[in-house]
Amino acid sequence: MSKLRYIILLLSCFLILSCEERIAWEIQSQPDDRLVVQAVLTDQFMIQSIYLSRTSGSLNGGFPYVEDAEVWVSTGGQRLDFFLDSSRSTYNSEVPFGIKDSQVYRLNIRWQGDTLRAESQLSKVLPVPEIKFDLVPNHDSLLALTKIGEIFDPTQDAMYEVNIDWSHLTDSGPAQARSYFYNFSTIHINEIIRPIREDLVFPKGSIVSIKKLGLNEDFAKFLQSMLIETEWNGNFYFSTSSNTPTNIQPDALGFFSTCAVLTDTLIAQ
Amino acid sequence: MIQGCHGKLLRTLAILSLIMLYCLPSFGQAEKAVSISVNDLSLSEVLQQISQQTGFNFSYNPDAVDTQQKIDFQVKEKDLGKCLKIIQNKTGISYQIIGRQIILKAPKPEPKKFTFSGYLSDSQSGESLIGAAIGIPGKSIGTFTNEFGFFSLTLEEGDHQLICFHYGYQKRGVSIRLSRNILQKIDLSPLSYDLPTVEIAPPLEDILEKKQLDALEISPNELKKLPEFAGEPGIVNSLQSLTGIKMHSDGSAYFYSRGGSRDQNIIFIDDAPIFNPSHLFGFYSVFVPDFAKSISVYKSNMPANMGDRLSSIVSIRTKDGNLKKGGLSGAVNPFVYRISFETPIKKEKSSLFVTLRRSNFRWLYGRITPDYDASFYDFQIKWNRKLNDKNRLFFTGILGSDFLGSQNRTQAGAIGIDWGTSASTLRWNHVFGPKMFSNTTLHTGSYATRAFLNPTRWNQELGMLSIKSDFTHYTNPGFRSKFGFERQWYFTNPGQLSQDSSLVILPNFKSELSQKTVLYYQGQWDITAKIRLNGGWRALSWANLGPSTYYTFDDQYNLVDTIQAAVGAYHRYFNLDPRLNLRIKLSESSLLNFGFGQYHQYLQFVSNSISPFTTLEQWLPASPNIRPQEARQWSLNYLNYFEENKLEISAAIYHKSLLNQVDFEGNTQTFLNPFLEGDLRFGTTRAYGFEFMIQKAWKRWDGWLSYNYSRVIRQTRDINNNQSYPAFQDRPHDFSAFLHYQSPKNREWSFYWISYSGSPFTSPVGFFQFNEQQVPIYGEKHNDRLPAYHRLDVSYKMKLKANKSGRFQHDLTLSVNNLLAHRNLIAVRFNKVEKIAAPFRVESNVLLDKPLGETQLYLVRFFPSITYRFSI
Repeated sequence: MSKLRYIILLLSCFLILSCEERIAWEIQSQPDDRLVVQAVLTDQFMIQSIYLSRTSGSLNGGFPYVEDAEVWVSTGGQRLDFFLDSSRSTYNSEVPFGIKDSQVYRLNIRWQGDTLRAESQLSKVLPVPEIKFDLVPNHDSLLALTKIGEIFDPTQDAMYEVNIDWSHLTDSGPAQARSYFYNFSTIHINEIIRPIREDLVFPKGSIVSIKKLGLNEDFAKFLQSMLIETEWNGNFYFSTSSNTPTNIQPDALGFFSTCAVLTDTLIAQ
Repeated sequence: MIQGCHGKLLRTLAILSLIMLYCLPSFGQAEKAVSISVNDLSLSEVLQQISQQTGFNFSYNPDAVDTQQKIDFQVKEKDLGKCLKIIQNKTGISYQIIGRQIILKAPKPEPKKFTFSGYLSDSQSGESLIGAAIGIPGKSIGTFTNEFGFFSLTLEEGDHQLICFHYGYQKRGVSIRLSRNILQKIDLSPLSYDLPTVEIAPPLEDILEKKQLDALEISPNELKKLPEFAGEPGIVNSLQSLTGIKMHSDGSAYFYSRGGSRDQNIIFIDDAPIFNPSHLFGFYSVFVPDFAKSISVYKSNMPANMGDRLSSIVSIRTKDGNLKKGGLSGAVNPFVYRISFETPIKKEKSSLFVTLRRSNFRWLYGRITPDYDASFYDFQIKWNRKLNDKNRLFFTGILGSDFLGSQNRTQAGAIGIDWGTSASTLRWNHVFGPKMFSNTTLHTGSYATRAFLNPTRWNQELGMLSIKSDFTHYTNPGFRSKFGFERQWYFTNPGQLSQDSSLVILPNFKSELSQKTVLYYQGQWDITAKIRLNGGWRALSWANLGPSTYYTFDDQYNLVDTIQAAVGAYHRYFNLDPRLNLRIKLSESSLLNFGFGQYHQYLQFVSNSISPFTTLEQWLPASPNIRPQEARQWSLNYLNYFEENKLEISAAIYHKSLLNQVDFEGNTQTFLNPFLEGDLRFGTTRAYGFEFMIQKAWKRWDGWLSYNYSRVIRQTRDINNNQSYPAFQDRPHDFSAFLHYQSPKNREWSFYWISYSGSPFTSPVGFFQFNEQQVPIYGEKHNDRLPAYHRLDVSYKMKLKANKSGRFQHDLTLSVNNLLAHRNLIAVRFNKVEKIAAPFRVESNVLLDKPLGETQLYLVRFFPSITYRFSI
């Protein structure tokens, strides 16, 4: 168990009569069908993907992906078209390419008569830090990954996409997991004492694939804001709610960013 | 009908008769107009000329009336009455017209006046009594002791019978022969320990005279009647029960006064500010109940000598310590224990009061987290020394500290947070003369937070040093002035990080130093027996002192420039805040009070957290980017007593306009953000409301009902599309009731009920998905409200030894907070998954695709406690 978790547990002792319960809260949903852009292009030479979806008026109502958009990225007078891959619900680049340093990339989306735009420049990425697994108490063969580096790290803004596979170790039940971890060079009150996050538990011998993305300042601000409203929301300290920022203009949600990437794969021991 | 007409006719005739009677002499005198123009002529010659011109004769005693005095006299075509008035004004000689004779009377010699001043104190402990009355019974001549027990009463020469009175004390008559100024100490004897307080109410005229409708005077004993939480009658929690003051939520030390923000209140202990009055994130306050002697709460018309906050000032005066005999008292309950000790150092001259409190939570968490600790403690000390009849020294020291984290703080990877409040006051009371009292204080206050995850440490602090001289001049029983000056220095560090040397990219923060200089004056003038005017001003100069680095921003909040300020003041603000209060005694049992005040605030609480818990707040001073907050408040208060002062009804309406109110851009990083000032958004707040309270005392029962309707609407540039929105503290309806019963067998029951509208909050109007997480979308700010709050607290107190004269006294208190176990929400969440046999959690494996649920978070339901108290 992480030290922070002890602190949260300790806090909970004082709020011994505090309680979190299920409640049926009527969301004052607005009939607002807006486009959501998740476009993270990397410096890896590959087929790049962009995910377009719509908003939902309910918490678990499903987020339908967008099929009828025209998507392209332009840079230095070059146009890179993206086409819908309906099997993956993403728009994939026509040709493989990697984001280059010192170039401005512009995302263009034509949807329902509107043209939406955003731009980004490549960020740097620092080496992947040492990955440490924690032994799950009372389970000799189970490991947990609770963090990568420290969330507050003044040296970098980074996001880790971690995929874990232990399908080669078992024949029953789900044998894959995916989780995101972050390092931020700024700190927010919700981040200091966060709600308890379910441990990412897997057996020894699992294959752990790590993709580290360096974040530019605006993308880091977007992700941090997203976490304030999601993962970091719900403990004893919390701030006023606010919409996440976006760089998609004039009116959409989500973010477009270009990131340098490092990957690593290891066997969890 | 006929009778009615007859009555009207009689009234009309009577009025006409009065008009004729009034006019007849004027007509007569108009016929005899006087014209005289002489200089330096004897009065007798002037009288002769008047007599010649009017035909009226003068009659007087030449031995008493000096007619040889020379006067200048110029009148032209004036009637006799006006001529005689001119003579009266010039010489003091009064007159009376009888027929055609004018009787002259010698001027009355001005009666000699002397001042009776001194201190009123407790006969058993020597403790000075605050707000005790001294006056002449049956006449509206009297005064009250100030916050140091001093009084000054100027009366005519001669013998006087005075009465001294104070709540909980026996009345005492004092006979004085006033042929010179007298400085005297008067002792009052406390009433019997077990008499119900309702039987010792003071006379109505004293209550009315003392009553300040814009301020609440509370005795700690009154607050102790309220059911306590977790074994302590927390002063801050008790304040939240007052009309017009709203609590933040359960478990919080924050409160809101008449629509103001939580940083617009300040608590002073013996003049020293307490910047964070809470322990354990807000469940307890740093004020040890035994330490307080009096509490004054100002929601409007704040005194000119106090400030600078926009919404309320709470002034707590502490006990001096027993000057006559030693004493020991304490309390034990499952969560805290405390002990207080007082003793004379030199009998009747000097005393010491020490109190220590410590938490006792380890039994709660020891098994679960043996390597971690959570605790708080308080240490408070008061020393005083009477140098002589005119000089007295006091020292007050307050220290409160909290810790939560690894027991071994020095080990690698240790994690934790500690925070502390301290304040101290060195005070010199000096009586310059019978009419002038002064209080000079040197005081400090500080609040600091340190969070650590070894080797990283973050700390923020706010500190102040102040010197203040306050003078009160008792000109006469109908007029007194308060004036003085104050110089303060503020030290603010919004958050500094230190880390191991391998990490060097850290924001560079420098502490800010600011200086405040204040001059103030306030006068209280009894214009008539029924009208009292209280007015004053507070002139304040604020200066940001260099060397410092600050930033400038454009209209779009973009950084424009970095400015290096040299040594000395690099930015200043000056404001003159007037305040006016008019009190009208409508009848022998009712008062009306109208007040207006303008206020400025130079320190802002910078936190976008709406959590009930304190601790991580930061403070920023007024600066080139932050204009001082400003408020203007109008209030009208009404009070009426019925049934020989056993029933009290009061009502108030108010309107408050607040400018330069701080808000934040969405999800602003308030920590380690050098450009934080660029993320601030400024706007206005409009607050208005109606307060009603009815208090009743009946034999051994007493209690009150209170209702408050209020609205608080904010409008902030670039927030909520520039549209107005309800503030967090906008809770239109607020109702509370209190009932207390003291049985003949020394048993006490207390019931307290509170209900109020839920606070506004921003709930999602939709969601989108990013990184496989459901991210909320918000519409209008504060578009939703939490459910209404309801709570019933009950306590039962048993005095275990009801011996009036017994030296050892002890009691047991059983109390239950939120007896009905109502779920009072502090937040609603939309981001967690339900786990079997585990609390709701944030999911980490996004592939599991578990549905999220809405959850409600609440704190205290049915919280019982038992406390044993003793005193020797």
